[in-house]
Amino acid sequence: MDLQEAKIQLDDEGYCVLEDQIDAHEADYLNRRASALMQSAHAQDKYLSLEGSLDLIPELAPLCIQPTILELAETALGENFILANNVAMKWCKPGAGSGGLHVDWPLPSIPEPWPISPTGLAAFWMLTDFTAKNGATAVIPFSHHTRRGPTSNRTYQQEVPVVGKKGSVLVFVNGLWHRSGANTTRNRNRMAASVFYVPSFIYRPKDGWPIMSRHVYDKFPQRLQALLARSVEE
Amino acid sequence: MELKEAKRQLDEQGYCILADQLDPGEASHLDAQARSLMERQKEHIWGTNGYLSLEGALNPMPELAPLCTHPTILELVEMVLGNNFILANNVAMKWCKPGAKAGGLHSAWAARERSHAFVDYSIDLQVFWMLTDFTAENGATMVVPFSHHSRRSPTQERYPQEIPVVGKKGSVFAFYDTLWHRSGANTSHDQHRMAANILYLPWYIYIQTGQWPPIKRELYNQFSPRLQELLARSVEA
Repeated sequence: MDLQEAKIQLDDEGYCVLEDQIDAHEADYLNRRASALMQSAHAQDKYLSLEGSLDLIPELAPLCIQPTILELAETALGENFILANNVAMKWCKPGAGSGGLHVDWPLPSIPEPWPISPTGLAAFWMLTDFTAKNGATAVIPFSHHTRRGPTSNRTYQQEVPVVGKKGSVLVFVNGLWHRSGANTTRNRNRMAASVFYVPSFIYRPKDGWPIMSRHVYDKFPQRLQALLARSVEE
Repeated sequence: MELKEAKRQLDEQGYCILADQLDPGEASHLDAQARSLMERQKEHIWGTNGYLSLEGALNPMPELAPLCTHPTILELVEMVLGNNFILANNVAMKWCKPGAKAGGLHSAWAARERSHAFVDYSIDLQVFWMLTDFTAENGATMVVPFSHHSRRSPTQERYPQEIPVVGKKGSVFAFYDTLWHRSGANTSHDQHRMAANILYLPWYIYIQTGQWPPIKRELYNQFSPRLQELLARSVEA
């Protein structure tokens, strides 16, 4: 899919997938780094999220400022946007059940109907293949146009898993109804690096996500420092 | 006007007026205090052609605090913005003197257009406490009803639909900042008009440091818990 098509699909359907955005070996490396860090904590849990990963794995930095993804973000959010979550690793282990259908922050605490323009954009970097069996994120295309959340306890026939090869990126707006899929395999992990951008007029609560250590931040390129300016320790 | 009706008018026409929200004697007291202060003070004052604005007025005039947490107005704000909102501007006094010229027609859409974002939603709620009568002669705010639905700024300087928002002192005039509006000309010889302007925003809107003068910590600590909540992001570090 070329960038122009991706922009149209993101606007129409609320999501798009861009292939081959990082080298497969680099994806493997980042996957191993994340798995090693996350292994010890909560080993019994099947779905794990490591918030503020950029502090612990600074090698994630190039993903945050990948030009194609930044261009998509600018199209969706306007020219002024920030990186809000400092990257979260999302590990879906064999045997994990599916998550609940939801939309992303800050929409759940905004009165409906929500703004038409996106108030957030997630880039899920696939560090393993995403398959229908290993817990690929499931989405309901076009659902962001409802400007409200899904009806609870209801199943939607339109739900589809977003599959892709490692090195691909799933980009979706925060109003799209989505969930983590169930991992029904015995031995296939699914790992993603989630980078969450918001327009700069959105307030990032200080306690919303871990903040960046100053010494890590200082080594980042200027573009990334600008994106993280509200996420770094004082 | 009942609150439900006020909310309906706000949604449809972009503004509403609630009469008798403040005792006229108290309104006159605040008006006199503001004028005295604005005659002397140089800091945080801006204005031209007889129209003056004092930003961060809660600092020099803590007596404005009850206006910020007035139960009826907060109920209206909650109906519009949801139950989690902030007070952004720390109150601004708006003094339109005799002979003042009309301001330029404007709306919050302009800033949205500049940032290419969020251009579809009215979220900034302006509340003007009328500390004097607002009349067509003394510079009452002018509005173009329904214009906030346009999702863009005005393209002409004048529209035949423009009207002055008149009301007795002690009334409250609330409007979306996306409504096309301006300060009216004060064509009177000796009647000024004064308003205390409070801007409420939903919690998820970012306020840039320095956008408005911050509240002094010592003063903030004396405010009610409700007002402290509303000002939590506006107090000096």
